[in-house]
Amino acid sequence: MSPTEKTFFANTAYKRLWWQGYQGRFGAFHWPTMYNFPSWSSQGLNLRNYDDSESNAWASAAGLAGCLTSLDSQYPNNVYLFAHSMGNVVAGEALRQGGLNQLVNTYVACQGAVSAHGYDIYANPWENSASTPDDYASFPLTSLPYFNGVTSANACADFINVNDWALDAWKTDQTLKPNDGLTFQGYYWTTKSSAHPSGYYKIAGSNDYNLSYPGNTYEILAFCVQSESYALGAESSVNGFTMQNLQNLWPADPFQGNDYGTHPWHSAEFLFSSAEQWNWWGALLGRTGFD
Amino acid sequence: MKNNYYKAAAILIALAGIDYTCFFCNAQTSTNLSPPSGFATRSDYINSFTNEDDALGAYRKGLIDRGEAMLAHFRITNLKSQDFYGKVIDQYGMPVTNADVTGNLVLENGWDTPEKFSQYKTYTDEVGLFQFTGLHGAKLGVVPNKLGYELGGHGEEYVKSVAETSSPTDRVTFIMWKLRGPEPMVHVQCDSRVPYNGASVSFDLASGKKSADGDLRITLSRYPLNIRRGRDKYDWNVKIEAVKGGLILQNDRYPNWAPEKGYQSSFEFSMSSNHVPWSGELDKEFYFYKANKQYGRLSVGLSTDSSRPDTGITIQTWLNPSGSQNLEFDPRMQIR
Repeated sequence: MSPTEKTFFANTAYKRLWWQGYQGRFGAFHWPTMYNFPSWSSQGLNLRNYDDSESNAWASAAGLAGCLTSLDSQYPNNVYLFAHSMGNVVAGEALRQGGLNQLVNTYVACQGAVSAHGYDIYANPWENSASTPDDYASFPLTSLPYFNGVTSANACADFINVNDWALDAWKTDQTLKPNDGLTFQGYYWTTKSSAHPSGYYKIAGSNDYNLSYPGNTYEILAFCVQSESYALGAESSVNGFTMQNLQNLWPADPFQGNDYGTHPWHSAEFLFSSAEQWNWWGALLGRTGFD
Repeated sequence: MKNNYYKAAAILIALAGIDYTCFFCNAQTSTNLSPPSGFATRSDYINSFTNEDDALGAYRKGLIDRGEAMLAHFRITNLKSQDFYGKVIDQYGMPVTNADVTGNLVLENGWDTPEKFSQYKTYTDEVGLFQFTGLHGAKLGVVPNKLGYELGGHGEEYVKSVAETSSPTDRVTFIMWKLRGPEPMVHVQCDSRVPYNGASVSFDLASGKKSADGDLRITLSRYPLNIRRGRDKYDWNVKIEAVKGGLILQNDRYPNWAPEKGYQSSFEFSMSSNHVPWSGELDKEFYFYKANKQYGRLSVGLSTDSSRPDTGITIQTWLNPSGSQNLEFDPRMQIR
């Protein structure tokens, strides 16, 4: 997304919340995602653009955590956070960094593009031929799901669409990890050995470099680890979250017969009209959202 | 370390650079890489993959680039046969003839670009059958339409074929509702709150609002009272009562006709903390009749898991004040 698009989405969110009756303060957190790809084949221009963005997302979490800490001190127990798509990488990691310190009253994950196994080891696996360990489900440093419950949010909700187009494409991206290529130097996982103690390494120039936790956590998660579960926003049940099936909130699919599985539905709350998405924004403020 | 082929390719790219201009047109990414033996171009090679496993295997072996693997993924997705065999019937099982059927063929257009849609049309024959054949793409959305019939908007009208893909002898069935004709109705949606300590709250079915002498009574009990929302599992019980009236729990495809009989005064729903799967949400649909013999439809959505002193409830009602059992609703005829 371009910076302009992010601003448009934030403006839309604020206006739609206002129409729902929300009269509090509103803020948007931006981080440097990649953008301006003229076509899908431009993946060829930067073969890792999605994962580069994900890497930036992980790395931006500290900034969000700091922001939320500051806000919570100003408005104790009155800060609410919702994140869209890859924003749930930033939000989830910021809340993980919060540990036992409450950063927000409620976190609503909307169409989250992050592994559901990071929260719930029992989330449904999908049929992939994963070539890496599922470090989201069992993080090597803790042997627990990576996010291990979000204790810095009083409550969590998950707005999901099991047919989400982008989160289906997300699976393809997961399949193609570790990021390997002929036209760029890539990331690899192999059986642990003295040469590669963690199994993860990357090649740069004529050398290979071992990667390990915790020093290279974000690099490993962004470029190497394959999720064996569906994305958080496409999983029907995730322990620790109040679930909201978005298909129950949406009007009939205008691309009928496609079961909310086309591209625009991934960002429907921003792209469709306020009337069409009235229930979505109502739910965000309502009983399955911020309550 | 990666194999030597990778190293050679990397050196080649370092020397020659990447041609940024020609990725799209031929669905190839790495024009500076040599095609494998037996192929004139890398496009030919990428286009030779007929399933995703082959493309993934080639990627894993270092034979194709990551971008090429993605291109292969989208290309293979768009090559899927979308032959579709369907039939359309009404709620009585009778064929719906001469219905207009639209097929929305979807072609994937990449990560950052919306899909391309192509629309195809056909009609049901004298026994309600139709088909689309010879189409290839990522998906095919099929929608029948006929004046005087209703089609559900959330998949409730759709009965899958037995096999994964339909065939002339194993068709997808669309069930449409043959309309009697909508009547003026009252429709309300109300978001409210109820306590979870066992105290009853009454609502008025016609307005959806709380009312001390309302004809819908909700009683929610939760144990323990104090929970961590979304994290704790707990016991809960909800009683839904129609005061001086009745309710029928329903899950009809088209809840457009209220039964004349079979109503009971209340329903109770419980969830034990050790139930698998456990949920703190209740979503139920009912037919109801009021003491004055008016029929209607009721939807109750209740979250039991609030950490506030009360918890959220959404009530929707559709009420036909004429006394008819007909619940076909047209927003243009809504009584306000």
